Amino acid sequence: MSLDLFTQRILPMKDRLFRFAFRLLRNVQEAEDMVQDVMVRVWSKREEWPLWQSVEAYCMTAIRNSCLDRIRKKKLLSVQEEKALNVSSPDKDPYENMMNKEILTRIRKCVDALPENQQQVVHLREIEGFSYHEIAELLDMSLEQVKINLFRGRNAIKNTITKEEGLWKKLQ
Amino acid sequence: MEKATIAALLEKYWRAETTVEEERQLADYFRQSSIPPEWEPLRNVFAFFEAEAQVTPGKEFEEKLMERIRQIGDASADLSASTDLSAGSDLSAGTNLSARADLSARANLSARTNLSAGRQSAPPPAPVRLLSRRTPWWAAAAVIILALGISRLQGPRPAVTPAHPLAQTAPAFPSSQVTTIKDTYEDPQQALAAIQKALHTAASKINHGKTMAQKQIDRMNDGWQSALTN
Repeated sequence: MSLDLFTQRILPMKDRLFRFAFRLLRNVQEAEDMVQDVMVRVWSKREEWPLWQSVEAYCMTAIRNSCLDRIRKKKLLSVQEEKALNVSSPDKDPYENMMNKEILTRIRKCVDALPENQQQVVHLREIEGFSYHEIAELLDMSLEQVKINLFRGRNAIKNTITKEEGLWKKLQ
Repeated sequence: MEKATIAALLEKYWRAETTVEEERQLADYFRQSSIPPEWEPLRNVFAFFEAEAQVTPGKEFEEKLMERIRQIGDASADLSASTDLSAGSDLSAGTNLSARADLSARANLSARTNLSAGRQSAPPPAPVRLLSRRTPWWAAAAVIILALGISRLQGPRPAVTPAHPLAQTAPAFPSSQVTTIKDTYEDPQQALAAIQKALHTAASKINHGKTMAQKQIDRMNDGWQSALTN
């Protein structure tokens, strides 16, 4: 029965989809709405599932398109809720005590401020562990572009953590 | 792992040349408690990614989603069983109009419940969002206009039976038969059932029109989106 299939194969993707939506929208409620819309859409197309090469790739592409579409509409309406962008994710850091909170905040701000492409590549690689090939397909870029974006994104983070400590040379 | 190995991996990492597996090794390394002090700031980078990977939607999210999914599943099963619409699942095909599935589900479910159970009250209605915040007002207007237009184009309505209440109140009806109107339904239950049947027919026509309009809107949305992305 397809409801079982949905529960086993598609529902578990909700966290990953949510994280990607949240990365793009920086708003918990909007990200949840997007994930729900995408999942409902996937469910309504259940007769087509056997024809899809990868349900996961379909969902990730769908969530990205929906979020980018949403961002574009927001920009068109020019009612950017600047404050919503600063809502940080729920703090679930297991190493919180070990970590320097100030540096973590700086890293988060740095990632949030990366250009859209770099942000998406960094997210898919560092947080979801996708291969270059998968990222290239999802974001519709060449492998070279994926690598360049990751390189620039990582270096921006590196600059952030070394800027004030003068540790640049030690990290080389 | 040896410091030299990690140093080499880090060098590759900054050049974006590490594999997924090598990055996992780095993350494992920076998770341990004793690392050289000069690498301490790096621990934060891997910890940040690890923390981000644990972000999940709210606790009630899954429950709400599954409720919605079941609703849609019921709605499309109901549509194909009770009418000759073949495109039941297309009703909920994704667009900005997030309320349409709920609407059709409720229309069909409540019509069916009332028909079979007479005056029994329908189950308490779930909250229905007519328009989501993202739905532009003209989308709703367009659907209504298209649906009405298409249902008008469907050609003449099927001939109504003499027992049909709408037919009997029609002004063109011969006056000799008007007397029968009063006597047709002595039982209010029967009258209610007939009215509901008529409304159900109208509802399914509107649903049909809405489906066709929806398909066109989907096509327009797809075209628009691909035009934007290209």
